[in-house]
Amino acid sequence: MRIRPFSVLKSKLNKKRIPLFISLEITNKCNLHCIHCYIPPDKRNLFMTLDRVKNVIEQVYEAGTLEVVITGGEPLMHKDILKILDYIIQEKKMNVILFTNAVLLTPQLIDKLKEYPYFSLDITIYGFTGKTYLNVTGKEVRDIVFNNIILSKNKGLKLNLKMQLLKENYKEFEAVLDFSKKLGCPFRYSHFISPDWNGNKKIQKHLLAKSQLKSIINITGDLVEYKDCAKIIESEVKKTSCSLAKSTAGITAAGDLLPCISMRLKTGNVFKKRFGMLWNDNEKLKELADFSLTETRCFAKCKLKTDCFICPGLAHSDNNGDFRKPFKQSCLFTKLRYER
Amino acid sequence: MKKFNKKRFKINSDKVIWKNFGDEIVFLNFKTQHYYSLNSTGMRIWELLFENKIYEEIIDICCDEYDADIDLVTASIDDLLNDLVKEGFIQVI
Repeated sequence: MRIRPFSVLKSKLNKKRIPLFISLEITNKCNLHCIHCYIPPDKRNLFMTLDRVKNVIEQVYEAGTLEVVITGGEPLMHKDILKILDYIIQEKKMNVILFTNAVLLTPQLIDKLKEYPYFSLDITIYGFTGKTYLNVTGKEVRDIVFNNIILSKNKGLKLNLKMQLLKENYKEFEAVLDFSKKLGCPFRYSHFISPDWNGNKKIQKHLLAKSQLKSIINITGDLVEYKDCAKIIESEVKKTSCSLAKSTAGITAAGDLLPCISMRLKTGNVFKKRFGMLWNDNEKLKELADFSLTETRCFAKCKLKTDCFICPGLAHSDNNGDFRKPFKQSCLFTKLRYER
Repeated sequence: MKKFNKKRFKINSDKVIWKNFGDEIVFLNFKTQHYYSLNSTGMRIWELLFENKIYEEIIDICCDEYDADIDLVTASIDDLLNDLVKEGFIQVI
């Protein structure tokens, strides 16, 4: 008898529909004003109260969740962030990954975060120079961010770094990659930009042009992720299955239940009805759980399908709700990799 | 296996998170972020580790409950304990 890698059980657990991973937006508010932000300005003020967070965590814990991604907005803006982490990690013994821009980290906060047994930070970087940071985020925070990353690493916090690529910062990709390598942090990048929550595609003007994307691929080859900065991880684009509504879900600061955090499709509200009931009874969630990536319209005819990052969530945002249509930004990326 | 003779085991709660899903137990190795699972028989052994049983007691109980040959049970338990030690989920004390 051996312990079995999760991959062996993935399809079985997906059939059982156990929500192992939950993304929880505890606020829509952010201390930065990024040019590509998908949260419309009039929706950037919501916080989920501590009592509500606890209630939601209790519900997903009962349903089987082991891992919670705390996201926003900027989660460190929540006045009760430490009480939230205490509850999830210390009381419920769940693993937490906290998404942050790292601006609000302080030495004292890092010391506190370091005490949690099941905790890691996932920091997004928006450029390497102060000028680019100001241009992308609207704030002169470059040095604060990089100093906080170095301090967090030196104090022993578990860190993952990622870079959001835009027309405005792609030239600094290599510098950020080198920084991550020297620091010894796992690193990944994304060049995808979804329309905003109102479906407005204006922010997609910051998407990389074809030649710019090519220049990134020339640096990275097939890899989009560097684990411990060694090229040991196959590209994310190798994924051919999706856990949307099967073993993952998203919950917004307003309590709306989403099939995954990338698919802004409201399937009920956990402030009004218990998560377990929605998860088991909602017809849309059940339909999505039955959805196979092979049903994506491009799947039958595309020769590159096994190497393409097929994401129904991003396709849903990009195609006005039609998640069966191809996600074109991913198609382009895959084609360019092959042309190379 | 000699190295386990008369030994007890400590579950490293700071390195592993686990959850029981009826007929499966799922583990998350916090350090590697890798997930693993055990079937119902493995779950029973995990329970016995939790009850602070020594190696020989675990074997005896499993032989009795599963009405199985002691050599097969021992080999099977050794494999599992080695995996759990290797992953850092338990330590021999």
